Amino acid sequence: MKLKFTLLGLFALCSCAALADPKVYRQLIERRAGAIVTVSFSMSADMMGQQQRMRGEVEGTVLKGGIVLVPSVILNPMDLAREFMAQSEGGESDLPNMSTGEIKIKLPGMDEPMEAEVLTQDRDFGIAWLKLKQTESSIKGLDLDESARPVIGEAAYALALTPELYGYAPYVLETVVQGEIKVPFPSFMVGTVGKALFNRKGLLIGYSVPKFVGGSMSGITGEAPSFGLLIPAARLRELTARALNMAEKSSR
Amino acid sequence: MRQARSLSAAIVMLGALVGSLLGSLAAHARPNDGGFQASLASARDAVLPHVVSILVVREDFSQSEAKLSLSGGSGTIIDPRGYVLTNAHVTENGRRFRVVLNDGREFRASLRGDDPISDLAVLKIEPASASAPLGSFGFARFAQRVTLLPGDTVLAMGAPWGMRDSVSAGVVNNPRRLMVSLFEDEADYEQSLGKDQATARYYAWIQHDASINPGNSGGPLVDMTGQIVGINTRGSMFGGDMAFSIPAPVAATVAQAIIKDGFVRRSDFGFSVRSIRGTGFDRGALVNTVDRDSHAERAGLLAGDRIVAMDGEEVTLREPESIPDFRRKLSERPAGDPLKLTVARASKELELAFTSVLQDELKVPEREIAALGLSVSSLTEPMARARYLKSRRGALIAGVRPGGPASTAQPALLAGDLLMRLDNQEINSADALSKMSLRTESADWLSVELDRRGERMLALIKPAAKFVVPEQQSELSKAWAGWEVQPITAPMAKPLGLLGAGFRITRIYPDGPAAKAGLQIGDLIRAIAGLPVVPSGQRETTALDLRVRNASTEQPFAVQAVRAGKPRDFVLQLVEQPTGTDKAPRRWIASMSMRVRDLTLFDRVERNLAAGVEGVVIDQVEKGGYGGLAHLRERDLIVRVDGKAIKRVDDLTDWLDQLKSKQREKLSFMVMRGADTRLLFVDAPWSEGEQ
Repeated sequence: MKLKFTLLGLFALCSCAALADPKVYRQLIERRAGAIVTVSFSMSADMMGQQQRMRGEVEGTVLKGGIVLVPSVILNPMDLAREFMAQSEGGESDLPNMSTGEIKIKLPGMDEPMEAEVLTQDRDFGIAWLKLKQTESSIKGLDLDESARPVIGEAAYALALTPELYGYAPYVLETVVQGEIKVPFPSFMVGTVGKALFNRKGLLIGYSVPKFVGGSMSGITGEAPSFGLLIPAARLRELTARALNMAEKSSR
Repeated sequence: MRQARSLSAAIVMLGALVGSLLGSLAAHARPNDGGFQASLASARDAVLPHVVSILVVREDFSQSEAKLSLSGGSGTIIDPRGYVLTNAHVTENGRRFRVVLNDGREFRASLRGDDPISDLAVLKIEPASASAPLGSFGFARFAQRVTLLPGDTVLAMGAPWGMRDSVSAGVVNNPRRLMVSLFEDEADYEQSLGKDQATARYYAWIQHDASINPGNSGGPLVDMTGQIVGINTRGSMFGGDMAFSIPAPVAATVAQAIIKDGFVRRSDFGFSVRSIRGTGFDRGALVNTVDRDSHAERAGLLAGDRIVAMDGEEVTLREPESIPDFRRKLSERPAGDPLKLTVARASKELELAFTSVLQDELKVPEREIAALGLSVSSLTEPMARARYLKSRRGALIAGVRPGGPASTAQPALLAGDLLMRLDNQEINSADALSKMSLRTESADWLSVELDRRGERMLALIKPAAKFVVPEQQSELSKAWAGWEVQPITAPMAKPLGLLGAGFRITRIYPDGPAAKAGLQIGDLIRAIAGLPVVPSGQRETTALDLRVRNASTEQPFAVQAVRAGKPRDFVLQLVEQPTGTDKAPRRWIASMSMRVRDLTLFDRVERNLAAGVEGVVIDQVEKGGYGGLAHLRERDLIVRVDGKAIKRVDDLTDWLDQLKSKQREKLSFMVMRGADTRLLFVDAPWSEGEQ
């Protein structure tokens, strides 16, 4: 069974484009699409004693040095459900035990997927760091120093790839930095998740991850019960440095 | 709680058993009939001393992975050499056996052989020479003929629910019972009892109402002359007083064959029959099935033919109850024996002659192929026939380990697939596959050819030297305040006399940042660094946890709290979170079939352990492993093994290695279970040949 990771897919539909600027789109694709890859993974769930297995796909963002950023929910598929249940006073009871494996990186035009290992993750921020096991010259990894601070109200752009059937073609998702939150940690609200976000100049402004807003019955009223949380580029840089440091220590 | 429940259940069971026994005796015994009482006592004394309880360490496969567990049953010593007759479903998948005699002596035993078709098996007691020399065992005797009638008194003996030396009394309900429903076709009889373990093919059950329960399986059914008339095999699937036994003459024949050869030889003529009940015929037996490619098929026998004579003697099977005896007599003929059938087809009578073949086993044991992450079994003739396969070549996948090579093959291999070729080598059987040397170090994919529901498919698989359980992914380190809190929502605050919503401290870890900053149990945390912390529910501490976890350990952490109605400010120096129980070093100890981990700060605080108490915590223990046999349980804290204090996981593994080299026969474990200590003993794995 193979599916696009549906929770993330739902979020992707939330982008609220204003007037699209062809030049911005074109430049983003030219400059940044080389850092976007498709990450496939398998999920195994223990459903009442029966092992169910399915495959999922998300976009990964490659950084310089072959590090790939992905939403940590792919390693912990029950995290969002657990978060939702905890916030709904439902506790964590009866959630199936799910695990993830066989993480592969697919590049457009390459028959053989590339292997990647998990370096570490931060489930509070919803980010995981993978490392490619081999180098590939066609990937243009992002430099985290080429970044800017998010500004409320500015347009933000993410790059995505079409499914394999449509040839992994890059395309742009447009959203807006909708608001800023200070607790439990400083971040911004955006309308897309699981992706690196850029401003009009193509500078990285952060990485968006899914979060549930607890305590509402918004699913019934048709409101999206969640929003994307944009981890600002500066925090992303600091977390990534810690992740690499930790990986280096553990490999010694 | 679980313990209490088990105890209650055991008491209820015991009560039910005693009640049932007394009830049965009251119902069937005649207290004023001294002769009857004397017969009953005599029957009991003739057999009960030879009844044994059987403890089985089973190895069952779950998704290709072998798991050890404990089960039990009953049996009877039927030979002075120490042969014990029991049920095949008692010994099924047994890896080690122990029998406890009526006099309390306990012995190891080995499986002499089993016969799943009749559900019978024979164990051989392995006596310690001094206490029970060879040939010295007392034994019970089978009735040569069973002439039971409905209403005759019978005794069931055995170990219901593991409680040995139990006797219950009842009467025979029907000495020739087949489980044929009035609402189903007679050919479906017994089918609901278990697909691969058909029973009552070659006998009809003795149905009786002497109470039997799980654990009675394999125990004797005894008549008032003190002879074994049956082997108790099944209770009622739907409750009530119905019990079912295998008739003694059949059991005796099977037992003798197993004692002699280790298995039972049976002939297979390749056809099955049904009775003429409800067909309108007044003689003969109808051919129900003719096996594909059998001698019967080649001789021209067809389903629907009516057998009127066999080797010149008239055959008539009027009722389904006649069929097992007919089948048994055919099966007892030697393989290759000729058979001449006179069959009626349309308006003609035909003579057909053919021979039998040796009957194949119903199924064969599963075996694990660890390098492929799957378990397989060879195909037997009945299995191949049931799957419409023309040959028995190949290895049938019985289970696939999640995350293992078979489950990650391209495409994934599935239980039920028949492996035909691997790495361009033909696979003729499960044995052949297990003997193949697989290139586990290579990164190359190996090709697999398989049969999936008749389709010939190709797949790629990458064998692995060993299956590595995926470890929990590491996480970035987080900050820690050294407290536990309870959310206080706004509606709760006023009735509790608190100033407002916040997080009330419920535990302070000794020497942690909160303790050092002077925070106390009962303090209500209202804000961090000037920004309020408000719980979203009565169990939800995330709002505070995330603030702490993602704060810097290098900067002061300002906490605004309320103590006794007055605001108080505290400054903490957060530290990195100590190792949690989920991250503590742990190790699987194969010889004991258990996993242990180091004790953590959180264990100490939760268990309120006194300073200086050290040990390792049992994370997981298989009931049938040596740890389980020692009655070790999950969450036990092992503090001492054979006199040596255990402080870390490595201490335990090193010490067990040393004990093994010293060939210690018994091991003692001192554990803390709750507030109690327990001293537990077990035979050392290496003393029984385990590694």
